[in-house]
Amino acid sequence: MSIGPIGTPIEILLVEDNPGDVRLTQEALKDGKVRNNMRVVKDGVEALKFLRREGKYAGMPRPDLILLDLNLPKKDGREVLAEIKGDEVLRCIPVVVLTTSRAEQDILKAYDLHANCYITKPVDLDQFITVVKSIEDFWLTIVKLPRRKGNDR
Amino acid sequence: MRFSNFVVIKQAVVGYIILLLADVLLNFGFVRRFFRLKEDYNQTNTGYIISASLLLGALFWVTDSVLGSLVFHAESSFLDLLALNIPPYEVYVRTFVILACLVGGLLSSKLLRGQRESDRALQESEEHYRNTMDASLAGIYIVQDLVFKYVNPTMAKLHGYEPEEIGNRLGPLDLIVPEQRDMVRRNFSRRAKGEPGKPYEVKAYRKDGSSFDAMVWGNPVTYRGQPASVWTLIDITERRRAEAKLKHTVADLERSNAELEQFAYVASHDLQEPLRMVSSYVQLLAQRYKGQLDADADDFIAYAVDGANRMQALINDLLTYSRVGTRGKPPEPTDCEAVLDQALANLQVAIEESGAVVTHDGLPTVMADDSQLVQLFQNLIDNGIKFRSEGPPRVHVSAKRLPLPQAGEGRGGGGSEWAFSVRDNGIGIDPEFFERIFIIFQRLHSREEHPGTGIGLAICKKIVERHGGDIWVESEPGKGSTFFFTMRSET
Repeated sequence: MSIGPIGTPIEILLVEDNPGDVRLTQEALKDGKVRNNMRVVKDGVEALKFLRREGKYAGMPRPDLILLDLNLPKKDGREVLAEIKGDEVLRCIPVVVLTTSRAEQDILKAYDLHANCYITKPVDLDQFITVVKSIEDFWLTIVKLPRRKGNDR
Repeated sequence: MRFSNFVVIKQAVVGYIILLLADVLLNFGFVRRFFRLKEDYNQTNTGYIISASLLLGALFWVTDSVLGSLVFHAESSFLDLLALNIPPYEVYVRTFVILACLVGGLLSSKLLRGQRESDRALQESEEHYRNTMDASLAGIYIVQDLVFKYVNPTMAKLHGYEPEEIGNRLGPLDLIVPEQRDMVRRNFSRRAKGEPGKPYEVKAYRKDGSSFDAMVWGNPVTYRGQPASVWTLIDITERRRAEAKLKHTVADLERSNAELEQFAYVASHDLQEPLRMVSSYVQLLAQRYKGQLDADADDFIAYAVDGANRMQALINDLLTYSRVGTRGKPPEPTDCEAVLDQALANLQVAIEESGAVVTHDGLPTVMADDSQLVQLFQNLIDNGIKFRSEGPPRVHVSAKRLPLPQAGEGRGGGGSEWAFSVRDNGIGIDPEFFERIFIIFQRLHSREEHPGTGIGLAICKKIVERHGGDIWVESEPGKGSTFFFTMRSET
């Protein structure tokens, strides 16, 4: 069940600094079930600007789902997560933390900051693809996302 | 009575009285000095008594003769005359007198000797205690009314004084730093009143003005009939210094551990990411260009991907290995039966797939980090399953109590140990490799034969050694292996 008017693609924001991972994620989502637009920002500062539609991001739609890597330059993924979940308007957007780290302290910290879920990127390509597709299955088809009200704040 | 018999008896009695007299007299200091006897002369020495007696005897004979001629104007001795010419009643008087001398002599001799012996015992006892106090490593001193009544040499030396210097000019409070004097004064009076107390610390002055840390303990005592207190003092500067150093070292160690942990975390984290790039894109290549590449290319890709996967396993294992030290918990009583259950639960899949049977005897409670102990059992049992021979793997776990280690052996602390054994019916190990298998990443087989990075036993060894135990193996190729390790018992 996609949100919004039928046929509107899902907006996904990928916050990832590694172009290799960006490309992998794009490839993995390419043959997905649900039509989606993936937009990419390379660091935490850009991510927040995008979300607040500042500067060059003025006309951007609000994402329906955020895929967030933890280790980012400039502003760290954890700080971005804290800011998103601390913002009244932004906090309803589900954030999937997708990162290399398997460390318990990272997992705990992420959930503590109210990440919606935490996924470790697998080394194996097939597994990576499976994971991304599962994200798509779960968050975009099974889960009910909050209604996006057009272009308002 | 015939005259000659009487004379013999008389001489014998007189002789005996003289011996007694000599013994009595030898109790007196001036007599002993006359005969040049040592002050500690403590046994009646026959020789001396005889010589003393002879002297006395001579003296007596002279007196007797003089008295005889002077008093009775005769030529025989006084006693002879008394004996020969006595009216009946006087016999009794004189017998009584003689008996009285006998008894008196005996008694006084005993008394005097007893007195001498108790004097001597007292002196010995005093010397004994004085020697003890002088030889003590601790300072010992007696304080009465805030004045030193006794100071042992060590006490003087600890404060940098000669024994004579302390006591007269200095009082105990002079040797204490000013801010503690009130407390110390109160303690002196409390002890003197009979209140017991515990050892406590003071800062004391030396002659050169420097101060040192000391521990003192006082007890009530009576000195010359008046209440006082007796104290022992030990210099604990060295101890304090060692404690501070230890705290420093521990802090350093903790910091070093934290750094190591940080390093291991960052290293593994940052190493994984490029690894993923290599692995993922090579696989993407394979998928995207399937059919357009030849068989060689497929092989090349397979090797590349396999390499990346192994690298990742190695990184993870390295991280686990380093965390045995940096993330270890202090040992607590741990029930090994529960630990074994957990390990078997973790190995569920491997056990089912291989049809392995794992048995165990009753297992004790030991002092250990429980999660590390699970890891230890798990690795050993997993090896038993992995390195199997033809039939289904059989693994048996048991424990045996070891006798107490001798005093002075390395591991320190009392209590006994348990020796655990994990026995399998697998392929066995050549004795040549008994040491090598515990080295990190050392393997004895190719990856096709048996999977694994070769870190399982290295981790086991690190865990066992962290708990102060030993680990070793007994095995023969083709006859299975038994791994042994020791753990400290709960007591």
